[in-house]
Amino acid sequence: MLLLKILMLINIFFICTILGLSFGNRYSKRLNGLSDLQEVTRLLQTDLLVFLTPIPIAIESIAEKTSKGMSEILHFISEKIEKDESGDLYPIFNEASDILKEKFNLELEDIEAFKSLGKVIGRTNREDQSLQLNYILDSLQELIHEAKEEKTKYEKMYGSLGIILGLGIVIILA
Amino acid sequence: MDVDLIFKIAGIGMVAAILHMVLEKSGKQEYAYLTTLVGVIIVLGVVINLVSQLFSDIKVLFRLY
Amino acid sequence: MEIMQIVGLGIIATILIVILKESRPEFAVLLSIVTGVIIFLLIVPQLVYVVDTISSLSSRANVDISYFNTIVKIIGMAYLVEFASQISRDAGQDSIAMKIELGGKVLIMVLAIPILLALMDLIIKILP
Repeated sequence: MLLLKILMLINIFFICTILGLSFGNRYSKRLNGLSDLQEVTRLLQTDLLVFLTPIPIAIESIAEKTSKGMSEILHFISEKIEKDESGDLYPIFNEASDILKEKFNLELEDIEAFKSLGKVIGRTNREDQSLQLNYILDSLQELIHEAKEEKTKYEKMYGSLGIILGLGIVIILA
Repeated sequence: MDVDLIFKIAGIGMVAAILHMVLEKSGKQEYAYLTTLVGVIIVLGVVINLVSQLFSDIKVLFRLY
Repeated sequence: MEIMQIVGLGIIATILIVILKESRPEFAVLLSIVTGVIIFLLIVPQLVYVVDTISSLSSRANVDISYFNTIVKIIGMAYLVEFASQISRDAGQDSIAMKIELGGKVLIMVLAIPILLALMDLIIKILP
């Protein structure tokens, strides 16, 4: 009986610790997603404006280079583009943003930046596109800065919060 | 018997103190005070039981009816 | 050995209260209450023995049982009042402690009035 009690208490403590750590992990997940998005945008900028690659091919080639989570989304987008004949990218990006949100725990602003990417590419001439892409890159930079600040502030806090709360529950129940 | 109650209450107090420190450092003062309040209430619940036991014992012992 | 238990408990509780007092004074107060109660509960069996002994002594000496009851009651009330006022004083609330003591004194006085009246009767009877 005593052994069971001790075992359960250890269990509770570890569960609380793991919960705290995974809660704090969300912030580094967001940071990762944002920096991946920035990389993708940068690659897209060079492909579209310097090499003048067609959009589906450019997206497909970027998908090979980036991280796993991001490349899945890019594959999804390029498949949709091939099926879709209207030439309007915004609805496709809209659809993809839902997957992105779940995968990287992004905020609303981050999603907006991603969606505006869909609005921009393949619409107007080169100058306008380069201006818009630069603007998106700037706002992404700002968001990354913000996410980094939040990460240093909250990730450690949630980790220690989980450990301490687990300890508290164990002390109360013991 | 209930000697370990002292250690339990001291442990809760220390945990509450650390929690307060952590929450205050990351700028969540309102939660910090809330956690302290919850800790005090939990301990108060234990203490009140003990004090009522003391009172009933004294009542019987010194015939204070 | 009860005395070892009580002394060890007191020392450990003191150390814990000193640790807690700086950061969480409210927990220190609760801890001191609990320590006081637990020490009292440890000495209750011995106290029962003492009270029973005095009670049997008084009945052997033919003292009126109501007087003895009054005295025991007064001792109990004095202990309770002391307990509460010490806690208040530890928490830095001297004025509350004073009021608790005042209430205890008044109630003890009320309890003592029958004895006082009996004494008066005795004095009047003795006087010619």
